[in-house]
Amino acid sequence: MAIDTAVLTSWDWHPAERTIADLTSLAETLGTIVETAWSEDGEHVAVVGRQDDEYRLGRETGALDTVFEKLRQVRFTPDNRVFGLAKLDDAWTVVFDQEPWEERFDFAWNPVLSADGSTVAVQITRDNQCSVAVNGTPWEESFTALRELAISADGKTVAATVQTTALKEADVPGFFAGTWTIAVNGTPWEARFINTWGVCVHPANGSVAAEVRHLDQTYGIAENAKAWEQRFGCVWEPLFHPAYDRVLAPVRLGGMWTLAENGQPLWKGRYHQLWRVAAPAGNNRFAAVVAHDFGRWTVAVDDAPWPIGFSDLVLTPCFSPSGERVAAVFRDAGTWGIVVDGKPWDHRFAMAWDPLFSPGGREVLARVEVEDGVTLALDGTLWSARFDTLAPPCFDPAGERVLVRGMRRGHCIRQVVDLKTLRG
Amino acid sequence: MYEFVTGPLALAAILIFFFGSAGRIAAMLLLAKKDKVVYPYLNLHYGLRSLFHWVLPFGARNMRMHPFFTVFSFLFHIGVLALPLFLRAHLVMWERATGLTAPALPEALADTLTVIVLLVCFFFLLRRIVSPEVRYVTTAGDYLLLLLVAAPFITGFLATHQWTEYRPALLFHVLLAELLLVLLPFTRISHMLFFPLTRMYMGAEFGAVRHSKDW
Amino acid sequence: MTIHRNPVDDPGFERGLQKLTPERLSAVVHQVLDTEAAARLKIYLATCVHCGLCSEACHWYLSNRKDPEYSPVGKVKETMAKLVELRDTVTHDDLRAMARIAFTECNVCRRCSMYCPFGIDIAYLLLTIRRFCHLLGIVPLYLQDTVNSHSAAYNQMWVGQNDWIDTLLWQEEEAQSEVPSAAIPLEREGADIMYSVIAPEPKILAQLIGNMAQIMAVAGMSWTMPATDGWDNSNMAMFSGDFEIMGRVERLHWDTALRLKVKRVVMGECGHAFRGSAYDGPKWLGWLHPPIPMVHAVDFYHELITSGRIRIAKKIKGPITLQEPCNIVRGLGLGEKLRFLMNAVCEDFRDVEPNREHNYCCAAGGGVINCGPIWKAERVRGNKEKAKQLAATGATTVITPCHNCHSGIEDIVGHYKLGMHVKFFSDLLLEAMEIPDELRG
Repeated sequence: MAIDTAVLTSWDWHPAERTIADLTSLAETLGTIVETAWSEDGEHVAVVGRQDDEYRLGRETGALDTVFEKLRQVRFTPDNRVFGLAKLDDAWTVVFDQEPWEERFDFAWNPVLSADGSTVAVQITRDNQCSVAVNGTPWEESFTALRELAISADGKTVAATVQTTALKEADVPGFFAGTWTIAVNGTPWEARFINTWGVCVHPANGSVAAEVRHLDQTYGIAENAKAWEQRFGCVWEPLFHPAYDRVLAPVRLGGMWTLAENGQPLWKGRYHQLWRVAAPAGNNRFAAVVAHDFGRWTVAVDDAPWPIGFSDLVLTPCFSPSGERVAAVFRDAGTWGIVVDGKPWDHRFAMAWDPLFSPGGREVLARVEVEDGVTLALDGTLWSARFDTLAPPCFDPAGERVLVRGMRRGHCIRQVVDLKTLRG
Repeated sequence: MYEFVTGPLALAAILIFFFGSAGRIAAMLLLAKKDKVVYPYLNLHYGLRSLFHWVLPFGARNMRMHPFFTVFSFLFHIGVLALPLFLRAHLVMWERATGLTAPALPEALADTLTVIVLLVCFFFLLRRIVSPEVRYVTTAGDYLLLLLVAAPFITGFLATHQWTEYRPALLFHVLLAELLLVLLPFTRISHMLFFPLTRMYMGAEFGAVRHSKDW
Repeated sequence: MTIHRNPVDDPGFERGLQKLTPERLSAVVHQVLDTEAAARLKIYLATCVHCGLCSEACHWYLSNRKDPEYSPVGKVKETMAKLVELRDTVTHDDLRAMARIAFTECNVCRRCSMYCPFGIDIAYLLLTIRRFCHLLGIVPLYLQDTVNSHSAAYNQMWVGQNDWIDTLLWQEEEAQSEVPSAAIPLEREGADIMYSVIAPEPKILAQLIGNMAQIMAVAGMSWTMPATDGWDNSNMAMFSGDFEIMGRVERLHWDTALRLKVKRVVMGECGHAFRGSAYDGPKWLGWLHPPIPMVHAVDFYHELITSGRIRIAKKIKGPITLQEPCNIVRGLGLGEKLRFLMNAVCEDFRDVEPNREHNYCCAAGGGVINCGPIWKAERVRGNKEKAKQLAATGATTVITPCHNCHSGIEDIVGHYKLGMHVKFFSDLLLEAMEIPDELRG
């Protein structure tokens, strides 16, 4: 999720290290710290403390007053408000800073935040019916079940996989008659399917697509309530291109996988597996993780698999902002690494997180875990600093510095560091 | 007649046997690619480890559970493999045809082995009739196969000891042996070809993949 | 000689048979025999010499007075051999019999592959019949319902996401009442371990999750559990022949672990769940092995005890025996480690005979217990041999490090009046392990 340049520019990019919070002293008032969260700009930390059966929210400045019966999954919005799931008076809701939504639910979980930070949608249950509450207001409709949630970047479209009919125990014919569909802002599509999964929303235009299992047990993709005519042996979740009006999905044809658009195979390649499709905002390309040979994993960009292969896995490809370059995490013979445009870094790690291109696309930065802690690696070179944990790093708009948000011996440290320093 | 049967016909039978066997194995190996996991799972070490246990008498628990069957079966298989190859009369023919020679089985041993093969054939027959779990899955073809295997040994034994008229017995013997050879790759006797493949695959899957053993 | 099977009507069979058209039958026969199955099917059928030596490998055969219809090769004769011969001329009665044999009278435990001189994978042949039946919609009702749950809820018992999370929060409190510092860390990205379980744990045996929270706290492990779908490592779709759903379930399970950036997955005490997530699932998805290590609870407990992270304070008294889950002894070679554990926590461990790779299945595994109550009587009758084996140990407790074994053995203990308690290993470990005073708070 790209942060607006104007916002980025406003952050403190002075190369320095600051301790934002000391968890040890926070623990004195808050009890055991069970969660910590960073604000995107690294200026704030939120923590959840537990003392016996009481949960409290804390900020870097100290504990806040309200006591909750439970408090979990605390996060920051882009404008530095803290929200989380809270249990108050035996009911669940969402709490912003200390302020709970007015509505209370039997249970609330899976809070989803729109990219612009304007909207929080959360799954809820009331009287054994499932629904979604958006910014505190529940949908009018409720469902037997509701399992996946997706939201557009502006928060205006919230879609969910829903089951609209209650079934008696072991009602197999009833299930195969079709009870699942997609609900968009509370309104279910007309068609029913055996299953719906992988719901996704176009980040810009609010179109909705999902995987469906048709009533004849074949698989397909449905876009805005209309299913592709073509049916497949299996499909994986569709992906909207962030900048174009295109939706693609991996499909299984005759026991092999390929990438399809609008029902037709887009790629000529047939793979033992194809998933983790990605598309850059910068140009009209697609990349996916494929198993070209059985048990060998690599990235294919526009149907051209890299010649290199890895034995264990490759994670979702990450594009440079322009879309020209691609990097990904891999695991090979038990160790983790980063591969950029088909060339793996020499270093291997105990763990590696998704790589990040600099704004100009020249450098690649990744969080990695080595023997003595977590650190950053820039173009394969390890930084000398070590942390216990690191939040995702972020480049400054000029691509010269990196914002580091890390935890070291109970201290939350905000550090801005030059690329030169990272290179050591 | 005899010259034809032991000459061109024998050659034809041997060729059919060889090419039939090679063809069957090649077809199977090719088809195994479609199974996707077969080749990636193969592992020579664990494959051979399993094979070793299963060609060793009493090397597997099931063999120890059936000691009579195990002894009979091993003797039988030694007989059916050794007699066609190392019987003096057969070696003479090999030498005449190819110039190659090999040490021959002593006659007494050859005779004993032949009798054993035939006795075990009878044991197999009895088992098929008497044992419910064997009878249940036995087909007419299984009886025919048993007869097909036993026939060259019966006729060979009769011919050698000239208890019947030598020439016709010998002729029958050669013809039946050739028939066996020709049918071998295309009947259940092809277990002779496939045994190492199936056993080694299962051995590899048990050993290399599942860290276990299959005997 | 032949014991005629008790008639059992499964509505799940009739569901598919009613709507079966000759065209569909032809198409499915072609798909399974000619397209999906290849060399293994052909070579196994060509190599089998009908020697019957696999018979005594099968607990169904032994328990049914050696009725040859229950022998592995006997089952192949009535299913795959028949299908290959008749193809689309099979009758509805043939299909009913095939489904009954493949789904309810074979636990796909693979013991027979160790008794077949040729190493024929008879379980594979029976699983291929299940695949065929699945494509025709002829699947036992309750098994299909379980698979439907997997497909809709990503777990085998229709557990709601709210119930899942709520149960973990509740079990965290339960664990804290014993070990105040215990926690069930949800969604902790970067933990070393993701702990995954099977749906009966949150649904009916929630204390097992609390047990693990205590064990993890005492051992001082860095671990997490997901607050999303993908926590259930079980997979009945693998056993119903619905490989598409099988793959989907396993994919989410592994993707959840990868999302949480853990280094390995530790799973609770279940056998088939190991098979599904380590072998059958990955294989269908294109992996030769799981993307990150899958550690079975037995292996994990072994690691905790041998590394000294868990100390045994007092051994459990009384004669205790063991039900070895096929999928972790034949399927993972954990026989030795299991014995190490039993001897480490029990004063009087009574081993079973035969054991390790040669154990007898519980008759519940392979999806058989999931065929539901209609088949229970047949299933329990089909494992008299297990009752004999357990009774011979004289034990009063039997440990089952597997949920299917647990339920299956409870049924056997009840039916044959063995008078034994059936427990998971974690029940013993919790009783036996030392909880240091500083953790008691």
